[in-house]
Amino acid sequence: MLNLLQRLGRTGLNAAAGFGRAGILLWQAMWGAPDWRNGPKLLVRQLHFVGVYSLIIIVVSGTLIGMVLALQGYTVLVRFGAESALGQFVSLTLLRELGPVVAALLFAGRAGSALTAEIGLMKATEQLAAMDMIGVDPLRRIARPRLWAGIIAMPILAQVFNMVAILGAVAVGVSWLGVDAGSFWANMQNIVDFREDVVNGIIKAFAFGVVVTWIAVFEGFDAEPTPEGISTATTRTVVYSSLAVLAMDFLLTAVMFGVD
Amino acid sequence: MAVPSASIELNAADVIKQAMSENWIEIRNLTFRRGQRAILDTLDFDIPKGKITAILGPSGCGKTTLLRLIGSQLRPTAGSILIDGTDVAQLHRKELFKLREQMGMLFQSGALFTDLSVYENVAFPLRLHTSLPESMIRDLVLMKLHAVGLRGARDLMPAELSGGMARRAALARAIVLDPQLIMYDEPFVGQDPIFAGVLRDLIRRINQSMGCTCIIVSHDIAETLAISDYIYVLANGRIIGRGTPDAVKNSDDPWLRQFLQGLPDGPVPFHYPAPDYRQDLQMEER
Repeated sequence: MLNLLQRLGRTGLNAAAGFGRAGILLWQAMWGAPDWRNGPKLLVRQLHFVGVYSLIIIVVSGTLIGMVLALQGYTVLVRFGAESALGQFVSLTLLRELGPVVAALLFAGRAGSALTAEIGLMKATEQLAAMDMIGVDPLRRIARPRLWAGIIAMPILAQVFNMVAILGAVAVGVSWLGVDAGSFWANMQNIVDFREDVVNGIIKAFAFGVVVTWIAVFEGFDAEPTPEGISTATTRTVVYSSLAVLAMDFLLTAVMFGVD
Repeated sequence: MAVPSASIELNAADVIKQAMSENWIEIRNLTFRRGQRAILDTLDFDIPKGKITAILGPSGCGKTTLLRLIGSQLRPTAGSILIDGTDVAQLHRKELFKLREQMGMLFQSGALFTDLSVYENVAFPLRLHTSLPESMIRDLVLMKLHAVGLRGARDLMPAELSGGMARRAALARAIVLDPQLIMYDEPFVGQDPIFAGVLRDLIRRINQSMGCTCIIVSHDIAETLAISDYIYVLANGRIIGRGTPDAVKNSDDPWLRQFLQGLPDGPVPFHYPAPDYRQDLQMEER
């Protein structure tokens, strides 16, 4: 019993220490004057790394999810003769929930794990220590552009996801299953509220971008500088990011769309 | 023309300070612990200015930790490290990065930035800490690469270099800002005799031509003794021997003799602490 309590206490303390370290990392990386000389170049490079490289998985997954959503929605709606409501069903599902959440989960798997592995390897090969000794703060040089890149890229990727998913839904619903194109688009336009649905979706994606990139960068810096340590850190990034995204999604949904 | 008296006092103070500080680094009561384990235990020693000082010791005795403490990448549990009269542990982040511009470090793995070419690796500190025009940066980089024999390898990526070449490229990067202190972490590990000889000569030449203070941390006795001016031997977190290479070589201390002659057993036991061998094999029960 005492051992169990001890273990519980130790786990709690370790978790608290981890949160503390992650908070300090975020503070030290983001606080301070921007580096106008090198910052923009490093940011563009990281935007390319985390944003552009994630595009393929986002576009392919978005298209397929939109197609599946249209197929499932049609089979239910057609029973009630309401297949013309397919546009609003697909758009609300995507803009409010699936777009930001699935894009964030894919982002965590593609870009988050890559960021952790990259930073972990830099630590293992003493590149971070070398940077430190050259007189360059690795948190500013490595962490800061990556954090900003994730925060900027995630909402854009979520909107790309929504766009291609809607196109996938059009391909299946309109072109294949024969839903009237006019009613599909008109219903979508009528039901979607820019502030309520689109902006809230963007806010969610932004919040997920902060959390996923923060976890990924922190895990990289906090990784044990061994092959096993990097592998564990990469796994932790994907697991923690996914759980954090789902938990945050519930909280944000409750705040944004909660029952009055 | 009259010289202002304040200026005279300042210059006199500088001269006195310079004359007094023959040691560039002064380490006092330095202790570093990881948990309950003391990695370094109340160390007291000095690193003389402009000389090559070696810190010898077996693997895992805290040599690299000591270098990290001098570079202030780690904070001491107790004691102080004075570099040119400044306690590095008391420096703020910004002051520390300023001080590190005067330091160069050759890491055990080379630690070249893998996404940059050899040329860009060497140019990296120049681009960050100076506002030199590109043509001057080019000249300086090529001069340093020429000094380590890699001018022709400027466009290669770190992955295309052999271990010895990577370490030489890293050395060019470490000296590109003409630092006052260069720290070498196990420079001879994993080097074939040719590259070890090349590195040894480079370290000596750099020390003589730049007049910088050098610290070599190593367990490679022959190479290190050949180029060092002064030696400290570290074991179990303490300094157990010190002196010139000849004095250390001729020491009667059993620990030093075991280390220098590479004897398998002695004050450092061959066996990791374990229960009685017969008991472990359960001989009595049989």
